[in-house]
Amino acid sequence: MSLDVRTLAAALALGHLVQIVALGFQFVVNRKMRGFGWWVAWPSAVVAGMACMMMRDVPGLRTPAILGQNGLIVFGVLCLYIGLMRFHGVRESRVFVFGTLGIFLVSHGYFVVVSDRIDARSAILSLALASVAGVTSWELWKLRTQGTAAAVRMLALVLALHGLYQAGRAVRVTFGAPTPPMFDPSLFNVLTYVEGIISGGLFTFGLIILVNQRLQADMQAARDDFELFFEANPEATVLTRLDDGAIVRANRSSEELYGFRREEGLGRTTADLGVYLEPSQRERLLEDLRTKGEASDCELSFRRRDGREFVGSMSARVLRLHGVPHVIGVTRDVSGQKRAELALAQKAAEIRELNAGLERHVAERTAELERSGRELERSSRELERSSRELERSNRELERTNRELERTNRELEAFVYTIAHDLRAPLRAIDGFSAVLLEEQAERLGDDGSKLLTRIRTGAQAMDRLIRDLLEYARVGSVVLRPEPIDMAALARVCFAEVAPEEVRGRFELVVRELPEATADPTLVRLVFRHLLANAVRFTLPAPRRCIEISGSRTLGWLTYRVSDTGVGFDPIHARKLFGVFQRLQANEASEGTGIGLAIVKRIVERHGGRVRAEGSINGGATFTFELPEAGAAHG
Amino acid sequence: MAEEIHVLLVEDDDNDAEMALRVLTKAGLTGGAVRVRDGQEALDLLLGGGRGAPRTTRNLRLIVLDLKLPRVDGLDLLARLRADPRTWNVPVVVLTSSMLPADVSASYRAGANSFLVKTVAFESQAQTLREVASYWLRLNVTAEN
Repeated sequence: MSLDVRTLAAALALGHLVQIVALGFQFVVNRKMRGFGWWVAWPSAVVAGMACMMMRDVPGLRTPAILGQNGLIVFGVLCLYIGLMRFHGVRESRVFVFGTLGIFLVSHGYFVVVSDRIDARSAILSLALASVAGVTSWELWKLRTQGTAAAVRMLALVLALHGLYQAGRAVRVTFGAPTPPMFDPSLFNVLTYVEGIISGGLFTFGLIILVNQRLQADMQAARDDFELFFEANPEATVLTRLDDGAIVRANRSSEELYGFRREEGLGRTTADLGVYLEPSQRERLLEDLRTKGEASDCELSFRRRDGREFVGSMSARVLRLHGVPHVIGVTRDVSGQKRAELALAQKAAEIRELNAGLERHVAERTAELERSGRELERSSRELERSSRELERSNRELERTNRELERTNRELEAFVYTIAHDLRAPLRAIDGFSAVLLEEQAERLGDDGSKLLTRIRTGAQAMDRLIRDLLEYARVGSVVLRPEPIDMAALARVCFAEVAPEEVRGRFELVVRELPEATADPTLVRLVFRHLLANAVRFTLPAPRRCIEISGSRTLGWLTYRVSDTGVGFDPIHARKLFGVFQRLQANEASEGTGIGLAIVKRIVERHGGRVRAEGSINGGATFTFELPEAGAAHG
Repeated sequence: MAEEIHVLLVEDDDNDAEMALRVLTKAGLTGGAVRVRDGQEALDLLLGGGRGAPRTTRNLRLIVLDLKLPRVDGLDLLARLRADPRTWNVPVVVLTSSMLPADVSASYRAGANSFLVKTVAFESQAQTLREVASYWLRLNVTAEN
């Protein structure tokens, strides 16, 4: 069989045209895949190359035809390389592409333009094709995946064989074998075209298989992803047919939720399984799905396979699978949530009730408090008013006191002046009477002397009266200077002072143990003096003359008693004794002025104490005075 | 008045003065006792309003002083006598009818050497005067001027 090279070239071009159509169709169908354009460019370049080859014989076009033919062929295989790399999402090596193309064009051009040597050109072309095929084969091999392994293996093999053939051709041309003319129907030439046609066709098949494998792998991945999402969804998800309710798919979570294994449920309806506690609820849900195409957060009561009931919140949507309407439903167990809500509501109600009670209680207490507050306010106002009145009274009292003090001072000064002025004439009366009695006794005679003596006695009585009144006035106004007093010692001293020396021996004085008092010693001394003077005076005429001073301490009071065995008094007059000028016995010899006991009373009362007298006619007398113990307060 | 004064009685009450002088004279102080009516008279006599002490008071041994006096009061007189270098050392006995504690303390503070209260009873009054005169004229040692 002899084959015309031109015919072969045409066949090659034709084959590649078919490839263009096939790959172009793939390109249109799978626009999303990358690198397809380059794939289409490969056979296109080859066809263009063949076209150039046909123009060799056209005069003047030989050189560009040769350059175009071979350049386009090399460009074509480089396009294939680029397309395959990009199909796999890898960037081609530009150094390799442009390097190969550049070196080829320069060397090939040299052997066209400068030295027209077909053998060199053949060798260079074969070398270029071999290297591009080898590199592409190697790169492709590296990029194979599980899904595309078969196609890649085939393509890599075809490329490798093509490369090997071209390499062999290059070796043969380089080492000795004469290169036949371009169109010589030698085996060398024929093989080249036949190989080109075969490998090109195989390669196109391989590419199409590769695409299919890739598509299939992508689909599988998508399915796997869907399966994963469906299965891994933590919500119980069930896919049923809308028409008959048959379960098509169910995920793991739904097994857990309903308690059925998927094998039991598939093909049956949820109604068959009896998971709906109240079928009416399901009907309503289905109605919603039919009319609106979806339902969300519907609360339904379910029963698990083990009989346990729960409340689920279901969201569902109608979708068409393979043209058949399906329902995908997602159910969540909200029993816990429901229980919590219920408990919460119950708690809230309890709290409301408690609050209401509390409010009522608070209101009651507030009312009570307000009432108490109003009462307190009223009391406080009254207290304030009383306090103001008290204050006013106090101020008035203070003013009165000050006035009284002033009056007292004025009175005292007045009394002193009077006393001073009254006593001077008394001294004259007494003094000159005395002089008369002494110097003119003979002329006066007994009667005259007696009368003068009576004048003197009267004058001296008046003097005593003035002195006592002065004392009475003074003890009422003098400032108290209290200090501790040894009462027994003081009583003894006072007795010695008031009992005239010549009669002192006639008295039996008994001083018992007396409690110590805290009082003004000058004034207490006066108390004892007056009481003892009285005792002496009224006991002297009695047959038994005993004066006893005793005392005691009881309940904050210090009590002192001066008792005598004297003439005593009628108890009827006991209270009168302490008045000014009160004297029960009109006895001039007794030398009393009647003011002594009034002075005693005044002094004791100024110390916060009290006095009393007990006695009977000829039965002696007991004068008692009580002083508050130091620190003890007595009104 | 060439006689020497041993006792000066400053007393405005003629009766009191009369009795006091009687008592002192009877006690053997005849001629030695002189009475003036008030503080001013006493100052005139003792300090003379001029320089140098009058000869008559060179041997003055006692002043008996009443407190309530016309013109110059007893306490004023006492203070001025104590302030004067010629009379600062003369013993002064206050003899008054006042029993006010304030008068007692004021007198001592002004420089009185003693404080006596007049009594109505003549005998005791006379005895007091005699004893006082006896004490200050015979027993007491006065500071040299």
